[in-house]
Amino acid sequence: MSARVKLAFKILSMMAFMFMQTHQAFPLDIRAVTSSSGASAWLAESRHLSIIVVDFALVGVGSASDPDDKQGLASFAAQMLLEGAGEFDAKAFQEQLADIGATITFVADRDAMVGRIEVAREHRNRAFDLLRLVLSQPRFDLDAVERVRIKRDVELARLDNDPAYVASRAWWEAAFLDHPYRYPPLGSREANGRVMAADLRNFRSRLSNAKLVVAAAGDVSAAELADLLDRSFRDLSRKGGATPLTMAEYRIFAPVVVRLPFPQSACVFGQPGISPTSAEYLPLLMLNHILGGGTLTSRLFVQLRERRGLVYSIRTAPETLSQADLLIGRFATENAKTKEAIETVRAEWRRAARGDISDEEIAAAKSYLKDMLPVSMDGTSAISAKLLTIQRMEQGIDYIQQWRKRIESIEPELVRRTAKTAFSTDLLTFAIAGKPDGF
Amino acid sequence: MSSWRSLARGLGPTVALRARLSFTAIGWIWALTIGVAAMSSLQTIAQAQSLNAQTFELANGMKVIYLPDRRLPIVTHMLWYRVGSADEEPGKSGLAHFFEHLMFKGTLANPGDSYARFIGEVGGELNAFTSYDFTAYYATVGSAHLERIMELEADRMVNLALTAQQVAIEREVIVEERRLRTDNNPEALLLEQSLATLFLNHHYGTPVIGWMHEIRSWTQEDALSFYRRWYTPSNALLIVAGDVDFEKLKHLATIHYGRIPAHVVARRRATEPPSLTERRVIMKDPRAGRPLWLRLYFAPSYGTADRSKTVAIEILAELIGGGATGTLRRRLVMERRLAAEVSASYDPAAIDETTFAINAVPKPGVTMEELEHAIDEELGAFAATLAKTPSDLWRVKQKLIMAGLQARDGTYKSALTVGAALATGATLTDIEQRQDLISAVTVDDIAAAARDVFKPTRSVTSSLLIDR
Repeated sequence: MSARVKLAFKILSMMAFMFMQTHQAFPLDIRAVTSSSGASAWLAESRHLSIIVVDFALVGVGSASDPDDKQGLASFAAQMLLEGAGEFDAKAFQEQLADIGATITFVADRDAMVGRIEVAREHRNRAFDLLRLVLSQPRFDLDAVERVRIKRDVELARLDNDPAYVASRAWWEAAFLDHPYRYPPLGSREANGRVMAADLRNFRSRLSNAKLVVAAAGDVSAAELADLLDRSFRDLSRKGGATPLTMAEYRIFAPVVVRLPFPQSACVFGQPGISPTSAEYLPLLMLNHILGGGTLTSRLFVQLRERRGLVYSIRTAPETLSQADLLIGRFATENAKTKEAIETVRAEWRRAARGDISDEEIAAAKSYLKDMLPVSMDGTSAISAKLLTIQRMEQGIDYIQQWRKRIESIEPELVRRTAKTAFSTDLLTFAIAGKPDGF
Repeated sequence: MSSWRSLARGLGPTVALRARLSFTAIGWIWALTIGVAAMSSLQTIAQAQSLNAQTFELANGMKVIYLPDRRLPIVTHMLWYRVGSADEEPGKSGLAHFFEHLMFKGTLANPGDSYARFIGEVGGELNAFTSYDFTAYYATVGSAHLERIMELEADRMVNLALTAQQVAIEREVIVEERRLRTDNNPEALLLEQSLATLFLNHHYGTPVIGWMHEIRSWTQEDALSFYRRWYTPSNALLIVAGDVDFEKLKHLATIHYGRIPAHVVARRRATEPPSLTERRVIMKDPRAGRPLWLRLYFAPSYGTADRSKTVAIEILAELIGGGATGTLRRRLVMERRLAAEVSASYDPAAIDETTFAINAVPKPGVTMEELEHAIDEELGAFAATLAKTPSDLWRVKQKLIMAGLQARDGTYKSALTVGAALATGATLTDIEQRQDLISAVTVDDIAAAARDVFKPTRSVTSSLLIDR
């Protein structure tokens, strides 16, 4: 078995070196594993619980690659993958999975089809064989297609009346007028009616052109994982043949309002972000933390919630897509207070754009970011998810080991400069769903 | 790649509307809206492996449970108080949850947002949640910071300093929270009305977040008298999960919590009379995107029944409405093609008699009456069908055992799972023996559970209709 495993020795030895170099190296061994068929994964092994979680992305077949008149095809296909494969119809397939207590889930985002498999260690071989069947021989039986179409239709109908969803959809539509990122990954009810079994089969043939990215955590050794990768992905490990998307150009727009008869308006706001490969990315993460990073002490949280009682929740987060980098936030407030809330967000944005960030705030943000990684990796599935995210951001396997050092080395001036160059109220756009007063 | 999905934890002090569906507010919204499937998969505490829990009790009556997990040098400190919305006085609905928010407003020694700022400096997470039967406050931090967390939690257990302005602003926050979770969501409104209809007297029929008109009436004195009554070491349960030495934990807990004097807490609740009638809720709302059918039955809980009984009902919920393989989905969605979605859910983690829920979305063109008739047919035929397909039972047991492992995956989840069970009447032994309990359930046990639960006179049937 070990002959089939190719460990990334260089990386490992570098990590060992780092461990000696710094007092606070990240206490989790992350290694690269490559299977004999060429599929590779990052692995964090742990024997604490006898479960295995593998997260994977098939990059290049997300919703942004759907045909214009078949929006939601990737999402439709994601739901269809568990509706029968190989010799098993939908019922038989779901029973096969349930018999071993395993779960497989798929969801399409704008760039990729993203999957997760969770299984108890003892049933791993069977589970990964079933995953291979799903990826290579999905059935798309007509009765299952119609069943999923109906399920999607009622869900899309519900979402058409959900202010938070509608605000988000409106924001993307306005911000990316000329790019497929404008469409919601789930598609629309109209397009849902147009997806045929033949479209799903075509979609399946595109899977082998996707770039496969895999992360694993839990009770599995490198050799065992290599074997599991071969079981599931050997037909998929060719990479990068999918037609690349064009760069998505962000468009500034005046506030968009979608009228929905609810007492509270949902609001999504955003502006361009920074690529994870840029030197200004970590400063942006610090600025995001200071401004709206989801803690109880961010500027937006304090201004809108603690001081004014306008919202229950407000937060911002960087969003990295293959063809766009964004900083997106959201909140919800009573219709009558929407204007005040938006003005408060704008005022904070203006202040950030002036570079008005104190040394104390920068020190606190550094301190937070330096130590947040272990807390954000609390559990097998959290670890696996994090390792997938880092790979999708095209960062190296030493990202986690280097994290503290990289945060530490950021000069406060760079943070303020990044605030001035990256933040702008001219770029900041809003989409609102509800009955906001004054719009 | 940061998506909203990945940010599910830590949105600020939160409320769990329905502990039986999910403990965090985010989870709840997901469970109700995306549907229907897999609601009951998160509730269990299976035991393929021992928790290796250790426990001790301080002289003032506070219990401490330690759950080792040494994967990463982190620790979750989760402090549970045995008080929830079902313990509120009449006219003050939502006060338990409102008070949970106010616990973040600071003390004399640690004023304002000192606690939150400390958590920020150490890259940790800080939040809280309230349910019908309990309120819990948690922090996940590097293990080195455990003592400081204890200092801060012990301080706010008795030394909270509130200003009138803080109380007034936070009340507005709760108003927005209620709009977000309930008033902006016809399906949440249907559930709220249905629970209020099922429970004739018990406060499980009152929403955790409170009725809007009563939210607006809360005063600072309401909050303080609630605090003085319920927040005391003898009414608390501390769960510490993660990478910490047990002897050190004992020492720290004794120093920081052991010196707080305790008072006696008397828990008196409105109780439920016998349910004599079938009830029905019909809600018409032009804002509903899709129709929804919901039935709630009374069902036993940790606090009212023994474990073999509650485990059988958990398996029943999974058998009829669990994920892709549940009987109702198989029959109504796949074979009879009357429903777009159907699922069932049951969470025994409650002190008093709780609910068993079935919900379904009719396929377009199918009336509520047709759907309901078919569901009742299937429920009636369920026991006979199960006897013919014993493999269904075996399959569900596999699923529950796996779900039990997942419920312990991480320091936060372990503390949540164990705390919710212990705060509602289960014991550590129950948790340790869970796998055996699941294995022992027979087809006859399930049939008996179905007979006990599916009684029309102990149910409410609800429809959300699109009013166009």
